Amino acid sequence: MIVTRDQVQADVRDGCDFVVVGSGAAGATAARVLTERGFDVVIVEEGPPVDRTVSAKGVFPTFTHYVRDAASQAALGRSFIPILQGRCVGGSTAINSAICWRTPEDAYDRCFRKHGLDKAVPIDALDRAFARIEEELHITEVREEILGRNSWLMREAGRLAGLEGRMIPRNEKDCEGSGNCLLACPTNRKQSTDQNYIPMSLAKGARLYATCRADRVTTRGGRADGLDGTFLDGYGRKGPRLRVEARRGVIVAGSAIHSPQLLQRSRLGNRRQVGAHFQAHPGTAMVGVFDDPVRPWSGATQGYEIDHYRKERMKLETIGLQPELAGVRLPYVGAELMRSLADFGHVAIWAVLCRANAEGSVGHLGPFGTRITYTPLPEDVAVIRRGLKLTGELMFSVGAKAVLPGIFGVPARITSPDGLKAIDEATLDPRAYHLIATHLFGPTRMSVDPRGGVVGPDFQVHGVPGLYVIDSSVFPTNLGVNPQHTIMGVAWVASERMATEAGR
Amino acid sequence: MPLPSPAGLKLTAPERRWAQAVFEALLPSGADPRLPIGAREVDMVGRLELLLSASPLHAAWGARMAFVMLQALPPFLMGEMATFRGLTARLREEVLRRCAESPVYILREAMALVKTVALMAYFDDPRTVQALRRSV
Repeated sequence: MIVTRDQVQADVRDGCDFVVVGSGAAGATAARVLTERGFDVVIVEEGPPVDRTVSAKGVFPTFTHYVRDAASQAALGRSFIPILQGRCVGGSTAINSAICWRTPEDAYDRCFRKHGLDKAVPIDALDRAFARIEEELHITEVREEILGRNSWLMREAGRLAGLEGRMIPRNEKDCEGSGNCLLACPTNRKQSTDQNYIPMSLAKGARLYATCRADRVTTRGGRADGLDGTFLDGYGRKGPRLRVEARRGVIVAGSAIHSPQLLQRSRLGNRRQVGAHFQAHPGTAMVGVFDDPVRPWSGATQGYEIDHYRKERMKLETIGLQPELAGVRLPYVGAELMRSLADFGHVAIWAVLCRANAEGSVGHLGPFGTRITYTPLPEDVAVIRRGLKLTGELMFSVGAKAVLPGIFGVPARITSPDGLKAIDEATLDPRAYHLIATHLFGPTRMSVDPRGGVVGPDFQVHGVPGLYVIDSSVFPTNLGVNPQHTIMGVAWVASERMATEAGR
Repeated sequence: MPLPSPAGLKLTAPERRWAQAVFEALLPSGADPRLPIGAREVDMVGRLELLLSASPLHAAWGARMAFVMLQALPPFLMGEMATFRGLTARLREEVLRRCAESPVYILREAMALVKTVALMAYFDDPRTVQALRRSV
């Protein structure tokens, strides 16, 4: 049963074993595991269910309906860095590119083993979870026939340069390569959680309250005992209230931006640590201009990646963006912009992502919403700068006639490999780059020592039994790879543990 | 399904005129035969209001300020004692270009914000997407 604001006329009360905040990668996985074990589960999701007839109409309706703050959410620091997150049933799994990476061993070591958390997230349990998730979400590498020319060019460039790379594994079924992953896949081929784990949970009796914001976790005798929420309309206007009594626990899975804010609003957890240690994978894109058509809107949205430099904190991947999203990277205005938009079918777009060392923070500014501070360090910007030069070289190797690096102080249009030398001289000031932050981690980090984090190795907030946080906000560090699969795997392991401890 | 009428945010009449002038300078009609319509033929301002209505207060006000700021820039960027709307089409485009290439970060960022909003609104019109796809 899904209940939304327009179906509710008065305050709602419900009771369950576990109430789960968030229906994305972590929350939906928890609901799927716990309902299978026979628990009564309520899911609370701030966004609406996705109507694919709306998202099929394009970026504008998708972003205004299903992306948090109509895509205006951003980190502020030395520069302004947009952060896109889903705000809908399915969370960011509905609007991401469906990339699924099993946690590489070096990332597992850095993120969990090094912090003494290998017993909290045992590698063998994680592997078992990955295997189940891969089967249930149809995770498979992009097929040749839907690769698209944007990705084909990167594969060819990587092959010529002898760089390790691969077709990207994604959660999809019979993808037709329409290039619309970011539009919540209007053809329903992407296996976002609203296509599988949410319906599976509902079939086993879970209730989903959508368009309902989780306001506050409540406690009784120091133990989490429920959740207060408020139904919201499409403009955030408040409606009736929701009260859920949770007999066994409250599971927070609202993302690395919103889980810490829920704890802050509830005044729970180590106040020095909640919201601290926010990490991300900042990145940018290189645009290449080719004589032959590329049609970046066709084929898998993200089809190929070069992971050759992953241990140097850099990953290159293709991204087929719609012109309204990529157009801001075209360094023109007026008539020149219109001409370059008309040529948009001839551009390739390749992203550079950095496993950044920078840390920021997350908090709340009352009526002004979320406060995210984050500034990539010069060493992080240096990685991105190097990545831009590399992608430029790769693009020229497969016939680009020009590349547009998008760095202030560097020529806007570079027409030869020699011209790329200018990138070496570019400033390391993040304000010179068009950065976007994806893949968010850390602001309720897990720690063995309660002074060093927010959540213990049993996924419960230190000192607050019954309050669990299971999304990427508990990861002590970023991963260096796309995190959806790891988030689901960790949520699976955490939920199985909760079920076992509850005797099922 | 379009969003219902904006509940909380309506631009004032001068703001609507300012925004329209910026959009028309940024995405002029007839600049390339492959994209036969420009901002003039698309309900850009209506879409801007929808977008701002779906945004949190600080973001909506930030975007409004960007349009106000652009109106006031010509004396500083061009040495012209006029508002943006008071300039010729060629000079309006020049203001936007200087803004996009300015060493002042806040001007570049304001221009990026305006460009993002403009492109989202422009390509929300099905005619523009169809024209783009026909062009290759």
